[in-house]
Amino acid sequence: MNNAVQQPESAYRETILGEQNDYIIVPRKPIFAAVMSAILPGFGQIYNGQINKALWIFIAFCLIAIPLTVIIALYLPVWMTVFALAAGVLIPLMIWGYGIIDAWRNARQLKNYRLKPWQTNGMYTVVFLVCSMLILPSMIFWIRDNQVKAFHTPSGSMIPTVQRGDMMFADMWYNCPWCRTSVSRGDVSVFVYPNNRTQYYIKRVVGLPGDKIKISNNGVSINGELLGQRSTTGQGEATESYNGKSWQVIWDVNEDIQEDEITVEPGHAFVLGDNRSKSNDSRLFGLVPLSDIVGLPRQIWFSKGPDGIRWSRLGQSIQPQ
Amino acid sequence: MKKQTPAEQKLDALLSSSTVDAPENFSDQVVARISAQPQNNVSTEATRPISPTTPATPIWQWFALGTASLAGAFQMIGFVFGIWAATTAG
Repeated sequence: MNNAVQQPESAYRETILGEQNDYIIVPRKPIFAAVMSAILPGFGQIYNGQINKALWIFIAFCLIAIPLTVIIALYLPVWMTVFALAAGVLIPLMIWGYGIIDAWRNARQLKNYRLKPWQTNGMYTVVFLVCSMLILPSMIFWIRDNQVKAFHTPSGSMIPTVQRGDMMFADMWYNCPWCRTSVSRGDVSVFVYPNNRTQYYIKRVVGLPGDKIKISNNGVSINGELLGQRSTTGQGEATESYNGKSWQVIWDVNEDIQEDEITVEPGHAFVLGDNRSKSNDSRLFGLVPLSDIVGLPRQIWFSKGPDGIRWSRLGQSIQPQ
Repeated sequence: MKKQTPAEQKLDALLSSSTVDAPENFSDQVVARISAQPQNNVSTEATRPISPTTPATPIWQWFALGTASLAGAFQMIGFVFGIWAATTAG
């Protein structure tokens, strides 16, 4: 093989037990291996001919690391959500870095690498397109649509629960036949805005099918049970509670509310903003189909207002306790 | 039973034959008949190149590699940080 080292990229013919085998010696270039692993975990290992290792690195990166940490995050207490999801970033980055270093180090040792028949530019392109343009985007869409999705709130309709500029993670495994939790009264929920289905809204679910909702100067009542007495002094803050859950709302102390009563139709929900006097909710756009309620916000992971970052809001739970 | 290839048949025949009794001083006789030492650069059938070395990579291939690397890197970052990309909910 001394000859092969002197003329690195050459074709050879060997005769083993009367059979002729043609092969090509192409030393692996460490920089190529590292770059390939950088653009797709495991890709550099394919270049080095290590199929099994390539497969394990890719599976660990895209099928285990992020989905697993996301699912674990949803089963942990709410205050751990952000930390668990941060781990979901760190673990794939570590696997990614390992793949790059491993590909580089192995390629350096493969001076007399005998090229395998399937190691062609066409095969590399197919692997890259399938993995990078198909599998990875599909995974992230699946996670965002079915597991966890980040939302940003530009409006103040949910003050004081959600401030303008809050960013939060929502559990998207919610309100479906195979989901962990169903819609219940008092939930802060994300739903598709009925008048423009390209937009999401975030409001509190107050009424479920069959409920009689009454809004008056006293406050909001469900089936005759007053959630909380409306405050007409100070800032208008009031505490509402239902079935063991409680939350804060704000009313405009000067607003004269016209009494209104509605019965929630089957398959629908009645939603209200916690900023009761400044909210576009079911009082204006009507009932929301239950099937359009898609997410349950869990925790604020970032919050920025006109005065800068609101550090005290980071990590706060959104759902009523 | 799997059909044997000619090479496997030759190997079986070789393995089934009895060992040959070498005459005494066989090694000495063989060494005595060697008239010259092999040179380091002798090209044998097993190691002789049958095609020239591959040409240098054209510049457009380097350009394609760079573009793909950028695309791949953005794809990777998009995947790792994908769940942190916030959608507006008013």
